[in-house]
Amino acid sequence: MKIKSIIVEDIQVAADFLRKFCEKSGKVDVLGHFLNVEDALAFLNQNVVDLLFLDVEMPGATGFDLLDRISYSPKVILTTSKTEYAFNAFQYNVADYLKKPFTYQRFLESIQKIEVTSDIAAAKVDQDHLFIKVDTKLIKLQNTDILFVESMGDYVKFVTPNKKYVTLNTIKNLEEKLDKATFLKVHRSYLVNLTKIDDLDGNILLIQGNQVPISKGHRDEVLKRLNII
Amino acid sequence: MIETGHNSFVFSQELDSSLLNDLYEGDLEYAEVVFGDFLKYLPDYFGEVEQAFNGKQIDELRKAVHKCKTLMGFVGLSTIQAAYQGVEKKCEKSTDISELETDYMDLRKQTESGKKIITKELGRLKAFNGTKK
Repeated sequence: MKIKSIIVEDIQVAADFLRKFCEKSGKVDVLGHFLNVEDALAFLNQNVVDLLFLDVEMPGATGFDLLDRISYSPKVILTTSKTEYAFNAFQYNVADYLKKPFTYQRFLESIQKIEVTSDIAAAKVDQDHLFIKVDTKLIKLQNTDILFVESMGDYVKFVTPNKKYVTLNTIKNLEEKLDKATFLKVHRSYLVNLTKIDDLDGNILLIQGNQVPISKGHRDEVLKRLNII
Repeated sequence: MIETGHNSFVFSQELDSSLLNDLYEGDLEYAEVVFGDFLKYLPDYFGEVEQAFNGKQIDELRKAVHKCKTLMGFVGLSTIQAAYQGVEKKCEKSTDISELETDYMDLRKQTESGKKIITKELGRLKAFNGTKK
């Protein structure tokens, strides 16, 4: 199956070059090209992609602003002509960093990295449960038992109807591992099980007596996924 | 400039031919498209540089310079690209745009010279690709 991508790039020549490489590889479908962050976010709020080819310097908001505001976590390949962004790229956990102009060979290496990490992720998500390490024990949690997950610095708290479990992990890592159809990031510190939401009051989700905040950047995606009629 | 035969094309010595050979891998028809696009977009992109400089907007100038710098890379104008990069760095450090006047005038001159080189190279590419059709 081909990787579904979009290109976010304000320089048309660079975007065309990239699109040509994607076509030539036969591995990547380009669903769209956007000249700025706002247009890209409007598309991403309605469509799920596997991969973003993301420029950093663009008119208005930067590529990193987009990563702060997107409601899910596709793989990201930064495409920029400035090497100074390498540290930020590392912090945002981007899959690769292509300095423009780049060769077809370098592009292919980048795509191979994406394929490898996607295979690993796919092997992990096809499960209806997970094991978490609490103290010295490994505890099995069914996905259907998890109400939500809350970030606590280097730890996360799994909240179930009867118990809470704290374990060493991050929201970003869990977002990749948990079933995306069931779990949604609603705030940088919260992943919720969509099937467990009882009510929505303003920017607060109510889940079996617990209150979970929704951030501004995630609100549109939450509303879209709640099946509001 | 060295022509090595009827079936080969050698990029002008005024350009970074090593980079261009790596980028286009012999796809000279696509090189023709990109060189044409370069000439199409350059006036607008350099217009943004002019506008930012004249409007004394240093951050806008940095962004516009960055954009031109990137564009130069796709046609092998590496020396001019380096000049743009130098000005981009100066924009990051400077708060007074008048300090950049000499750099701006130099970029203007180099960009005009680059445009002439690419126009000439596009003509060569068209001629070469035309003989293959």
